[in-house]
Amino acid sequence: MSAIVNLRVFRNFQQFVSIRPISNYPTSFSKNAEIQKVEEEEEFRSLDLSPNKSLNVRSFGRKLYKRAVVPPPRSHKMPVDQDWPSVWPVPRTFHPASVPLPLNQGWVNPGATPPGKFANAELMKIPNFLHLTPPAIERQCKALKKFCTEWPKELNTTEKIDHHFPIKIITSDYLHSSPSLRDARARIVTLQLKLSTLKLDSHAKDKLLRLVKERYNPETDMLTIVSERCPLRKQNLDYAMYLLNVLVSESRVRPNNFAKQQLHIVCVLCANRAEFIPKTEPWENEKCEADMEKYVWEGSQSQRTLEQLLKRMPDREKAQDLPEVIEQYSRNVTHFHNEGEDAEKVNAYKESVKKLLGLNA
Amino acid sequence: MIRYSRTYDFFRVWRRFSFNSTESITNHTFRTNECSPINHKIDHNGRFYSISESVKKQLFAGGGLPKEYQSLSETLNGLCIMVRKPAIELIHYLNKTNFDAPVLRYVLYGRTGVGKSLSLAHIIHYGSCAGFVLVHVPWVPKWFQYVKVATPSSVQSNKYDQPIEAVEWLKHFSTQNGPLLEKCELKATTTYTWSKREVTAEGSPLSELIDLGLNRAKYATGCIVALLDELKKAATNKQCRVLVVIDGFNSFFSPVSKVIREDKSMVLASEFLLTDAFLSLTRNDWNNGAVVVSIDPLAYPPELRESPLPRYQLGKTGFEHLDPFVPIEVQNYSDKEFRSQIDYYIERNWLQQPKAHTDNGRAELSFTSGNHPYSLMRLVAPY
Repeated sequence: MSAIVNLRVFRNFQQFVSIRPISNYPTSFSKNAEIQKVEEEEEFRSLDLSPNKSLNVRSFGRKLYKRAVVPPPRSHKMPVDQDWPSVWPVPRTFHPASVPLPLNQGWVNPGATPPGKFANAELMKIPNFLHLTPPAIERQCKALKKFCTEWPKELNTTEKIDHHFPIKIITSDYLHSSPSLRDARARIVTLQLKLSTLKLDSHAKDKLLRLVKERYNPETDMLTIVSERCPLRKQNLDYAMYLLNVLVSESRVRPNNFAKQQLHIVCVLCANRAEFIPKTEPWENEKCEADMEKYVWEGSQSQRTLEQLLKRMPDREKAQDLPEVIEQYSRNVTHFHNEGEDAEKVNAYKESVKKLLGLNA
Repeated sequence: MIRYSRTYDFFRVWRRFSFNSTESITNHTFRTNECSPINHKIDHNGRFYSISESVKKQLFAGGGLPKEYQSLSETLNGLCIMVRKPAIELIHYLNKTNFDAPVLRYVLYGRTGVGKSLSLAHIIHYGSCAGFVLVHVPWVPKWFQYVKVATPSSVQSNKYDQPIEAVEWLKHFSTQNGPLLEKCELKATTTYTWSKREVTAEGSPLSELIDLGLNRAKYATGCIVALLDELKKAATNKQCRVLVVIDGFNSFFSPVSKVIREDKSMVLASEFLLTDAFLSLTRNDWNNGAVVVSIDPLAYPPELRESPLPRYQLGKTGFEHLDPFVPIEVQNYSDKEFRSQIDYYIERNWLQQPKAHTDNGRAELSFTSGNHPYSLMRLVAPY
């Protein structure tokens, strides 16, 4: 740690760096004889419990601390064809002596070389993936393969998978070496489902969206239910499925279509009902135009005024193409309100109004 | 505006004297001798026609021309209006309108300064020539943004009146339509009781109603409401044809107003009696008339001027109020219009720079102004 602090302090004073090596590791230029000696040793280094006093004590009686002998970086001795995954098997903070790469990292004035890998805090700060080299991954996959079953041949495309298995259940397992095997997070169950697979009509979809609120992502059409209130995963899974059942059956208006539904559990629930009654809540009738998610021409003010207008129009009944014209007009009005306007839409609206009012002739 | 400077006055006077000799030239390519807007067709596109002083006095005395254009026309000795596409289109529609059908609503829209108000002025002239009773509001925001006095209404207790503006408008109406109203002999269909002594009896002419409003500012707003109601009925009964022209119509739907109550709350446009009256007139529940309105970003407060398009400017309420309407876009000058505008300025000696005669000079003017009519007007002005 002291080495790092030194580096930070003296970074601006390059001469200090040149006078005194700030790292405990000697650079290749300043290898002294002692280190050479250490390098030659092939045995394990021994811990000297009774150091020779004469080395530490000078003739005039002052104690002198001798620096511990630091062996040269391990990377110097690494063969080129070594087995890297066994050198760096697990995630670990960067260590300069173990990595035989000439790395530089850190900000310097433009033009200068960034600091090298020794005593480089920048390299230690960033996460590294030295344990996840392609051979390491391959080796781990190979080791896991014997626990896997074969993938069904029929499910060869994403569409098929989505079609046959619309519900996705996501859980997490946690492994760690501690006295307990349990992890509270393992109970959380996430249920994901594409809303289009439920085949809801517009009323049911509207109601479901109101019930699920932010759990629906309109961009991906994905409904996500996270259940974590029960202590066990199994209970949470059951609860998530129960929620889905309730949501769907609450929001359905005409549950007659249920039999066609892909969802097995939903079917089981509804099969018990002798008669399928359209399910509408009393508050649903109170929905007015301001509560609409988007503009619907049918039943709007625009339609009412148009009907009144057509009633008072002289000789409009003669026109053959009236339904088409009204259809076009309603489409243009809806576009206006739903998609925002631009010059093109205004022109389209103008054309349809002109047709409607007989100004085109 | 910094127009009323001393330099400006000097230029105005000097120029007025400087081109008296060229007054007689009227048959240039950029001019048309067809002075009746009824006959304006696509052939007249981009040409100027002149409006006589008496007509100008009758139609635009109480507003209707943009202030700057008005003073420019005085400087250039005579009001000339360019016949432009939107006006031609509108005149075409108005000429072939079936007046038995409910009134059609036309909406002029476009960026500020492209000439919507002048197109409306053209239409007003058309209406006056074609024998329409004109119901013309020169600039609606004046009633809500620059209102002088707002008082609780004498007619409807929960509404507000603008007595001064109402009197002004009645005056404007009577100058525009005075002779026509006498000719049509419109009568009040019901008795209006203003106070114990002031009563407009059934069968009395509408001019009496107007006079009452002019003399008694307190009842002016009520008079307008009654007058518009009577006009609507008269039009439906085929006694007269009514042309409603409203500039800055979107101001009726503005969410912001400058009129503040004592408790600092805003009096919105919808709380004024005049709003109700004119919105009722722009509904299509009557016939034998036409409604032409313009919407302008300028009629909204500055923070609501993102787009000049009708749905944004009118909002949902306004759009549904007018729907179905015919939107007519007023655009920047086309090449032909631009050329004729420059020719007009040169002929009037308003643009004296010799380079303006050359193609390069015109191209530069066109580029600098972006063919935007108001920008061009500011650009060539010597002040």
